[in-house]
Amino acid sequence: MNSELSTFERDMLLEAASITAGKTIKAINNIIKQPAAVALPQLELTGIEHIADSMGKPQDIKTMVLIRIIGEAQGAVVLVVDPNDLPRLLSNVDEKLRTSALEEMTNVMAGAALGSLSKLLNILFLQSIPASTTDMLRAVMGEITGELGEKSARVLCMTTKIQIGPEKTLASMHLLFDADTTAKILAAGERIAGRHYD
Amino acid sequence: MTEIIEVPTASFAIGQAPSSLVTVGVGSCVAICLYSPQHRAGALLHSMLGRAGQRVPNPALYADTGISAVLEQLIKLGVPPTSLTAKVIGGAEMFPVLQQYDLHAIGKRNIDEATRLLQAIGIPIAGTSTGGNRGRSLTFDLSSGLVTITEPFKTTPQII
Repeated sequence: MNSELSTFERDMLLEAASITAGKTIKAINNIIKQPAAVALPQLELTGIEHIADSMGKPQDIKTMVLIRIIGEAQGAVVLVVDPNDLPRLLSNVDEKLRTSALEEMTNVMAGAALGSLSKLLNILFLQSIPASTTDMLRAVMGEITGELGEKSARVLCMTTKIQIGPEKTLASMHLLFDADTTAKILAAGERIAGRHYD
Repeated sequence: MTEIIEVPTASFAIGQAPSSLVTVGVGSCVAICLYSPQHRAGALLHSMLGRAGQRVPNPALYADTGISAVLEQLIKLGVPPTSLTAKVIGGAEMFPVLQQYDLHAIGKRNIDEATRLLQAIGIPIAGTSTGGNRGRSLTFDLSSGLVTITEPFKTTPQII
């Protein structure tokens, strides 16, 4: 955890991340009809150059689905999966359709996560169409965080690690927000807490 | 003995023969290799963005402030900018499907900015490997000045 977040901010963001993780799990269950479990979400407020390396080895080949968060909030939702796990994760889907299925799965997961965050914070999170690629982790994340870092070189990253299915296939979902959106989220959290303490 | 110096994202390293400078996972980022054959010395800068804004927490994050920092270090080592040639690598668009909607085109802008900067400083560009939709990893051999570039799913490396 970065020292720039106060204890209150960290707790508030973790609470929000936990709520979104719960909604994401329900969405996965509905889509792929397999059990899923999540670990406690992790938070990081850091420089854009550090995000990729905190997610794994830079040269690791991963399949990644990107959904941009657009509108009044700016950010990205990224699902990261080992490409070797795709046949197991989407075993009931024809091989040619697996990429589309993974994109749709991410779309639904992102919708559930952002919808719950939107309801909680009263901030509108619009999402773009999904896009996917399989390449080196650092090469792909460099583009995503680079886009977010053009205005400010720091981003907030909420990471949820997910185990899917009886074989506990690992995936991770990352909600990334640029500096302006992070400030809006923190301000909304403080307003909510203020209301509760009234 | 050959020393291999790894260069993470948003950083740079300087070295001399027989060392090699290595960076992994250059996507839309731009990697700039500067080499002086006369001194058998050079630098590798791995920047994420082209132009720095007002705040510069880390000069190597941006190509413009990164090149300035690299040149300053090289001059301190006795390597003048006039002895250098450059090779520019990266600037890919990692999500091909988004290109048709993409107003950002961050990869292309990074390459354009790096090219413009090098031309403005007067450092000739001796080789490029830019664009496309794949990440690149590279090894910059300071004995020869050659840069070996590999991409995932491609068996033959490119040498520039």
